Amino acid sequence: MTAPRTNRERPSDEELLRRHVQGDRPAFEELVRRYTDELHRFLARFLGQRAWVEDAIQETFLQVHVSAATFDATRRVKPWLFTIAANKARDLLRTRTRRREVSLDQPAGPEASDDSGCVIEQLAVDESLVSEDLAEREESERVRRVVMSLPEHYREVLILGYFHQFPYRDIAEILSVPIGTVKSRLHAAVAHFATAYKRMTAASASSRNAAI
Amino acid sequence: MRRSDNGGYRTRMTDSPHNAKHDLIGYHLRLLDANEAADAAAAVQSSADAQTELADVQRDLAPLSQWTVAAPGDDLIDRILARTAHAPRLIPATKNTQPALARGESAPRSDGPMVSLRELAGLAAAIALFVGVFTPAYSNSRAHAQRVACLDNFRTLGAANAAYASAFGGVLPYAGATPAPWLNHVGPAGVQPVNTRHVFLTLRLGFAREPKLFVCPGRSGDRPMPDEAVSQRDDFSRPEHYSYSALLQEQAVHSERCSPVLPLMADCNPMFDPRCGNCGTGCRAAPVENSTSHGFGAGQNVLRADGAGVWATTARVGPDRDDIYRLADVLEYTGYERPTSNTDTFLVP
Repeated sequence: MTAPRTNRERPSDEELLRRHVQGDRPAFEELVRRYTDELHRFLARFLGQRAWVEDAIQETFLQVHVSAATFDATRRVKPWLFTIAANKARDLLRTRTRRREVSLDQPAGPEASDDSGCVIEQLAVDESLVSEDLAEREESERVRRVVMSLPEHYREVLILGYFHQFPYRDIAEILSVPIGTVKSRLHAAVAHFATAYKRMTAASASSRNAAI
Repeated sequence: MRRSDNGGYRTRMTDSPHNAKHDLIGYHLRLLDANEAADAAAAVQSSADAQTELADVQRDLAPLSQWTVAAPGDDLIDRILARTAHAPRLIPATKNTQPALARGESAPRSDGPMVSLRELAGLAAAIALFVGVFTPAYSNSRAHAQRVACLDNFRTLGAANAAYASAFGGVLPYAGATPAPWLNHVGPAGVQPVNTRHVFLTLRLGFAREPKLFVCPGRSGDRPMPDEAVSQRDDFSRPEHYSYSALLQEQAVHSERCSPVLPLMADCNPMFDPRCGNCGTGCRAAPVENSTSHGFGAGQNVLRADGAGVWATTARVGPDRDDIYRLADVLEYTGYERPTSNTDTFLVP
């Protein structure tokens, strides 16, 4: 791998991390500013809960802060950051959903109406994470529901591939799986998404027609 | 490859004119490396099927663009920086920690030793708890197994005694009156026990087949007499070849005329057990009533004249509840003391 390029105006991620290891606090702050938005978007789509997202992103940077000295200098920083973020997100999903001690597929409650969705859907709803425009919000919410219904390993590869457009080799590095596995997961994720989205759209249209 | 509908799962690979498969999802999302992308672009240019496939991919993925998320709060960066400002500093990389840390699986919480004092204390407490719980249990079960094995020795020796008595007119093993002193007796080979000659007869004559029957599993220092030495001796050659105490006999005991509960053998008499540290030229009453072979004073296995082996938690298991390890009204022993009555049983090494 070629050495990361640096310049005086915008040091590379790797340069910032190296300076942080040497005790340069502003370098770490620059790294945080550089990646907070992108990691926030990734975690928001992967987790769906604002409080969880902020916990995960803080844990991610805390991990970077503490273990920067262990970073393999032959790797690039950005995939490493996403690796840590994905691991933190998975940990959060497991621990917090386990603490609730309810099935995530069960109806949200005994009085839940048909359209109230299951528990995992309600867990994922956070008004502050969706757009304010009503039509856009409805569509965004529909897409979110479909993506959140995908298995975790499909969801993460779809988000990394579609929204962050990491090359296959970077996704493989982030998820620590072979490139072939990334490809097959992405293809399966797209197929599942397309099928589920069409089904949900058809259900919404039929319910609207019934209301008219 | 043409699009196939397989239960909702559709692969998004298409064939080029040269029949090579191309990943149109990767191509559309720009996930491919340069060579793969060039090949896929050529396939799309030259193949109507590939163009149709690509259009399907674009259509299927289009809804995802509608999924928007809000920007993080203005103070998130400040909170991240505040949280990390006082976090422990960097740790040196080691071969053991680097791979896991690089994957973000765990974060050490100290920049000093790899294990904090709290973790060390927790580990020590866990080990102490483990040892505290399992060591006594293991020790108890081991001691119990040894006690049972010892009792098996007595039951086998009881059968050997019965066989001997059957062969010798009902008389239990008897090698002549026990000489005095029976304690610290000095013979040709030096100081040696002499009350062991009676029970040795069962081994010498083959009624008891194995020397190990005379060794208690609960006494770690004792070991069986070598088989080849048995036929050459009239008594046990060394004290560690015999773990028990036996009835001090001045005359032969007839198996059918004695009490069936008369103790013939038992675990080592604590009065003359070197473990008690109370056996010199004269032995005073031991501080414990019971034998120390199976726990300190816990009890002893006893072989009775009727051949039964029993575990007794008291030494008063002789006729009329006599103490099998002590003579009546005698506190100090030199080796010349003898029972004063038929019910005053006395078992010595």
